[in-house]
Amino acid sequence: MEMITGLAHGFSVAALPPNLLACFVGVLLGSLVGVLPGIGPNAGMALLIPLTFALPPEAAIIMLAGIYYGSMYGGSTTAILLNVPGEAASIMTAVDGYQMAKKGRPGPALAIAAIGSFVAGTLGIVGIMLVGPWLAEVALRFGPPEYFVLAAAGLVFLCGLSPNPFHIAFIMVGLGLAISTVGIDPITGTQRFTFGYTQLAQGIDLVPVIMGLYGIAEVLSMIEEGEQKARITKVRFKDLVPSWLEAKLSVWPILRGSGLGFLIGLVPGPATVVSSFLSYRVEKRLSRTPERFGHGAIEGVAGPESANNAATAGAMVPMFSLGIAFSPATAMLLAALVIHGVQPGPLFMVTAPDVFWGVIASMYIGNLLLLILNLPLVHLFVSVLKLPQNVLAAVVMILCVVGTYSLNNSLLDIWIMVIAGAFGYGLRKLRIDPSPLVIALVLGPMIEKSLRQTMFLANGEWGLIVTRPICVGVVAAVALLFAGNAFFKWRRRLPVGAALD
Amino acid sequence: MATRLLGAGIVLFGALYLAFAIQLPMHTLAGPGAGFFPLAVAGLLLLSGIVAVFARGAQLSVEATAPKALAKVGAALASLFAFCAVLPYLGYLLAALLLAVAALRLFGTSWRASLMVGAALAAATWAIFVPLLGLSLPVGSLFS
Repeated sequence: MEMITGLAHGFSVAALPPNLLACFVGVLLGSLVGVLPGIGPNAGMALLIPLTFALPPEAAIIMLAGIYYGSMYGGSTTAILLNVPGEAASIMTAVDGYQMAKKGRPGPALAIAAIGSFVAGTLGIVGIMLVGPWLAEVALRFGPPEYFVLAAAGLVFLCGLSPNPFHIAFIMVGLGLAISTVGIDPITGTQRFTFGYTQLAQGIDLVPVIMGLYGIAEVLSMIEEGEQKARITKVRFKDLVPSWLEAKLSVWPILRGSGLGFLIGLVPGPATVVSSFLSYRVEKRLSRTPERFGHGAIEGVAGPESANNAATAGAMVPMFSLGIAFSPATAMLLAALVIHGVQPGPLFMVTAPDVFWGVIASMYIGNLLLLILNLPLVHLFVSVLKLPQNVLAAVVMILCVVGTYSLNNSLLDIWIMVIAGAFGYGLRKLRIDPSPLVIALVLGPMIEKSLRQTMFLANGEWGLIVTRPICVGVVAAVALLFAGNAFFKWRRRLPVGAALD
Repeated sequence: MATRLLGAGIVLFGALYLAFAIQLPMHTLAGPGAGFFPLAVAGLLLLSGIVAVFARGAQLSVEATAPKALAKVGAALASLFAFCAVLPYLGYLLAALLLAVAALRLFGTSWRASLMVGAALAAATWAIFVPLLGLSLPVGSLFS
């Protein structure tokens, strides 16, 4: 009942003209960011945070959330038409989507991707409403030991999921934590690693680091690769309608993808990417004709596209109810909330109902807008690819600079961004995923504070953590996941002779 | 090889970080002091760096880059650093114009087009951020 009144309140907030406009601008920019290869949701949200400064908190978060889930729609468009995934979560869509396009069925692939995204997005919002308040209630009983274990275990888990070897991902975590210790110590007020620079006392902000690692590093890669021209397939509106068979084949993959994506979104990690990969494998495994996969199977578009959208919704649950971010995109949302003076966490729904329910309701509206935007207007988005790379690179570079500066009116932030950009480019060359660094930077202050409070509470006795059931549960869950993973790796290694797979 | 170099770099960074961390107060009457967590992070950095130096198995590989392309990336980075250096003197409009022109020239765009696009970009972002959003951008000490 509380949920229905909450949602009704949310719609009354989201339907206000300025918030509707914010939602529209957010999903429009999100689709654009999704279409443009390289400029993913992380860089896109970082670039556009300054645009939200003048807005009230609910409009700002509505817009940024719109960019996040909107980018999942846009990413599939170029994956299907050009075999160029707009962002990493659309890589699986490109496999069968592009094959469908080559066989003359690009329209149905686009339509199913958009419809699947819409269904998954809407179901995901229902999921947030069901799980979010419950988790917030549980979280009210969390003390420092729980927060410490949750955040630390989340980081370890994130490293386990990383595409890089565990110790490499752990190096990234160490660097992120080290950066997070720069500035005034939150408990005792001691200046740390500031080397006499007063500006460093406030610490190193998340936004310049993200803009550098994702935005500037992308521009540097574009400069390295030089001009590339995209060839664009034309799609007419009447070509979009899927056949009866295509529609029937898509129903279950969409529903399974939605559930899978939402659940994966809840746990730490690159949820949108992992969920689309996993959904593809599940659909291939369950299919009676797995040989069609890779040659234009509609299920291979429907499942992953639904999964990555539901994952964006799932990832918002820990952000809203615990105030913890486990992905760069939700970290940006969290940073934006704090910039606008809203404190996320278990009491978020009570203290800022306008923002919480307003954003939820706006996501219903936003998903509807995205469906309308992405089906009839798909050729408009594709034509964005005609924007020459040189102009795009210059635009992104300038936006990074101006956005970073306007965050704190600080020249130091631009220096940090450029250094992060150079570092991010180096990481790309080594194929190292920078997201553990970003998450460690976000979680660092919380981990430190809760660890020190825990040690104070425990008075030197480590037994305290063992007496907390939630702590034991989280540690056991992570240990179990790692053990399970190690077991599967070990079992796969068993048939030594048949290791050609 | 790349992994070992990275590991060695991290060990070096970790040692430097540790040297600064141990100068911070470790204990206070109200539990661990400001230096406690940095000490733990330093340990983590050193440990993961050492593992990377000695690890066997899956290793990182450096993506091959043509020397010419690498020079372009270096030039782009240099212009970004130069932008930071001149921004307080030249102000946003002029510095942004120079940065955009540098980026466009690195793509082989003609001087004319670079200057036109650069000027349009600098002016458009200034118009959005200053009058429209009410934020402030550096005017430049040369002009004020």
